[in-house]
Amino acid sequence: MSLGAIFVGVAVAVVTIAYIARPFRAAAMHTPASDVDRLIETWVRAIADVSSSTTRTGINFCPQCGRQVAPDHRFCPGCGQRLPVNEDVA
Amino acid sequence: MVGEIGTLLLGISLAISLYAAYAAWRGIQLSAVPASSARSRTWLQSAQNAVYMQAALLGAALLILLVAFLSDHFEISYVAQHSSMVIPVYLKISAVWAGQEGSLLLWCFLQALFAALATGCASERARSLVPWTTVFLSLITAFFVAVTLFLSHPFTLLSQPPLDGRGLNPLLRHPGMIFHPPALYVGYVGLAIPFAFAMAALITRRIEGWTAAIRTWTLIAWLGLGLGLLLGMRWAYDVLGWGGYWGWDPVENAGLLPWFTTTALLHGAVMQEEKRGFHVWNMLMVIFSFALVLFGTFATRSGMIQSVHAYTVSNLGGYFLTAIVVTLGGSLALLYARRAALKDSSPIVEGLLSRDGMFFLTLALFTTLTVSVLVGSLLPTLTEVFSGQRFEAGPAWFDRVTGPQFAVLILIIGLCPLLGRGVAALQRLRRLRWVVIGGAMTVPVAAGLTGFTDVFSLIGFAISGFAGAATLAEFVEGVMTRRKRTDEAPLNALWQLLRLQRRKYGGYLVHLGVILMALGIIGTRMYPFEMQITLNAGQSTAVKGYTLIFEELKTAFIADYNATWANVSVYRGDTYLTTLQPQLNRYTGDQTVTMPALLPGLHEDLYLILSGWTGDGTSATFKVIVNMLVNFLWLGGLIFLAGGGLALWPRMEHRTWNVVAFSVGLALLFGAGWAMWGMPHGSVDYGDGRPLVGQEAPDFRLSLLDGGTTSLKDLRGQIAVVNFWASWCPSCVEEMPALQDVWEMYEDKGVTFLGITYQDDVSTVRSALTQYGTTYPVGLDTGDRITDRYGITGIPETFIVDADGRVAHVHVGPIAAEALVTQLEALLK
Repeated sequence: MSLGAIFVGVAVAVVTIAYIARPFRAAAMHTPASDVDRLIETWVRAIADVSSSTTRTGINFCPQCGRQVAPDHRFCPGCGQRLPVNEDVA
Repeated sequence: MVGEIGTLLLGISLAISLYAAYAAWRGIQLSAVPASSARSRTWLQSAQNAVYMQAALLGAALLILLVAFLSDHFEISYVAQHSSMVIPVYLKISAVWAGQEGSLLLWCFLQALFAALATGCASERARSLVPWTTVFLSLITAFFVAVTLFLSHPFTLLSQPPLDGRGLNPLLRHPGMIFHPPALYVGYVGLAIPFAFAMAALITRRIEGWTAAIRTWTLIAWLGLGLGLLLGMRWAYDVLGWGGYWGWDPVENAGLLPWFTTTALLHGAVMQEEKRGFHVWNMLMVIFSFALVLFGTFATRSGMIQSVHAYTVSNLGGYFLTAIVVTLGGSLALLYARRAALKDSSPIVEGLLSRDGMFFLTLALFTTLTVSVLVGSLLPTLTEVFSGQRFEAGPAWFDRVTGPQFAVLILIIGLCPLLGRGVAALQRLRRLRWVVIGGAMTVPVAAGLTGFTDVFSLIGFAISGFAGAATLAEFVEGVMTRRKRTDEAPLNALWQLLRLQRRKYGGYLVHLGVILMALGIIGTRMYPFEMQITLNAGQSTAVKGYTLIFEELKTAFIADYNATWANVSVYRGDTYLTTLQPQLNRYTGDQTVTMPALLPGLHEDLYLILSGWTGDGTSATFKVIVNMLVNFLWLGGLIFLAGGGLALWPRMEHRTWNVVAFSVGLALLFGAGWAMWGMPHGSVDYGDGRPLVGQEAPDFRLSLLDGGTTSLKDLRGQIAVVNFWASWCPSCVEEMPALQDVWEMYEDKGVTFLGITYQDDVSTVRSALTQYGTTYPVGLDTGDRITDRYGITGIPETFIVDADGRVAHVHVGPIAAEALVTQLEALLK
């Protein structure tokens, strides 16, 4: 098999896999599908904010983008939002 | 490198199609639990992306094969086998699907493309069925890609690439090659879509609306298959040179069988949508349509139908057979498993003579037709297996078995619009009774008067007339009813009717087309005429009202073949019709292709084939075939396609798109009509045709070189020898001394010689005359007027006109002095 063919083949495979995996990456980033979904996400996050943004199990969620963040993070790695300092749950 | 990329694309496509099936399945599993609905959507979206990607990759692979053909990549074995440097571009393109490997790749691409369109653009009603449809369509695509990649690879490379390819099979060098296979494949591949949706409907128990959901796809597949079959028939008629259009060949039958079941499905779907049941029938029809598609491709690629031993030669057969068994077994098992959901869906038939009864009968007839043709195709194999004796079901067997069934179908076409619904039904029949009786009588009477006297054919004509009248009455009544409301002009009302009720009137147009095709089939099958005849040059023969005169044989070397053709003038009585030029092409490798010559007419086609000839061209053997009413077949086919197109024509938002779609459809139909009847098929009109011996010689006026003019009338009382020649024609100048000698012998005996020069100039003519010492009057035929009037097909030609102005002798080619003297002596007596 010639080098050129291998190169083209690998390129095609990469593009293909990227396109097929796209929905999974979008889901992982909680990218909402529509305006309504986005609105609902905002409300859910707002409610979660009120209850607490720090949980008992040590897994936190970014109040802006909803991404999972580690407890000791000060900034969200997804959207850069400054994270509230961890307080023990009342 | 080009071939290697193709291979890689195929491999990646296979992986993706398997992934798409898995992803869709996972999405379906996850959707069962509400909590994982988001993840379900993700998987389904990924599956959809995979389906799109599949179509793109297979399209790219096909494109690569196309590029390989256009750039003469003979290191790819498939390209070397089917192409060469000299064949024209349009044939290089169609060579892509000329062989097994390329045609399978085309199949794969169409499969993926249709899957992408069907799942991506699914209508609202169909949306819920898409996930399972994706599973099945992806598995089907995976199967075909696997077969292509591992068993029939189009991109295998040759270790030593040849300098030039083997060239395209001469039989395939025809525009039909461009359209016939792709159209057929649209039909075959298209049938996978309704099948997949039907399976999805069964699994999800959403059985009510599935036929409506995929109505468009079923129509597209049905129309594609019909178009492919019609194109195949016309191609066989034009090119294969046996004078027929359908031989009940197993390969032809392989395309006809799924067409029967799909037509049945279309009709059953109407009933299902009118809530009259037929659910199980429709399921069976769609399952068998797809199974027959697999069977068809299996039969044509494995040779199994010819002999049960042949398929071991190609290992493809075994895999297709397994696929058929799995498909049939799985779908029938699924149908049985869902029988509870189908419980209350038996046909609601209120007696045979009702609309439902007629539909039921239609479905039953198409089923029996399918079984008949299937049995006939398998009969050689079955009888060989069971009795050791091979019984070949020939065309006669098929005609006898299917003929009556087709006749009943045409009868139903006529009865159905008459029966209507409920109480109004009988009133309708009563109102229209004279119309249909009239139709049932006029056609046989007209046929009988024009020479069709066989009893069975007259019955067939009566049934066709009846059905035609009933169908036309639908159009007329529709227009009349509409005009009562809107007061439009009749033509406008008709147009609005067609535009607004496309499915109904499209269907009626299709029926009308089928009735016309029936007329053509009755004419050609029940009144066959074939005759073999050998003629010497100049000899004439009378055949069925035509006079055929074999003039001469000509040969030429064109591109990579040797062409030999005969000039045969055709007269009806004294009237010249045309000159037919049946041809025989001999290619390198001793392959011969016959090119028949055709004189089309409403009543019949005159069809001439050159079978053979003696070495020196003085004698040739012809096969003369007269096909009665065959153009009704082609006309009916066009109307059939128009009806299908009308039914399919989507209602689009913007007026411009509607106009565009309509114009394109109309243009295609006119194009097809022009290709069949506007273009010559091996016939050439030579002016007014050569005058026959005994006819009055056409008068003309000739300006002589030495000044003055003469006309043939002036020469009355004398015998005139009229010689057509030119100075640039070698055989003409060869005979000039002979002509001069005879002229000198007879100039005082009441004989005049006249030389008519064809496409020459004064100075060259003068030198030729001086060189050969010609002293008889010679003139130039300016504007070729005289050669046209005399139907000259070549030079030299000599006519001897007697003293009364009648043609006494015609000689095509150079004439010897002895022959001329003999003729003159006979006349002078």
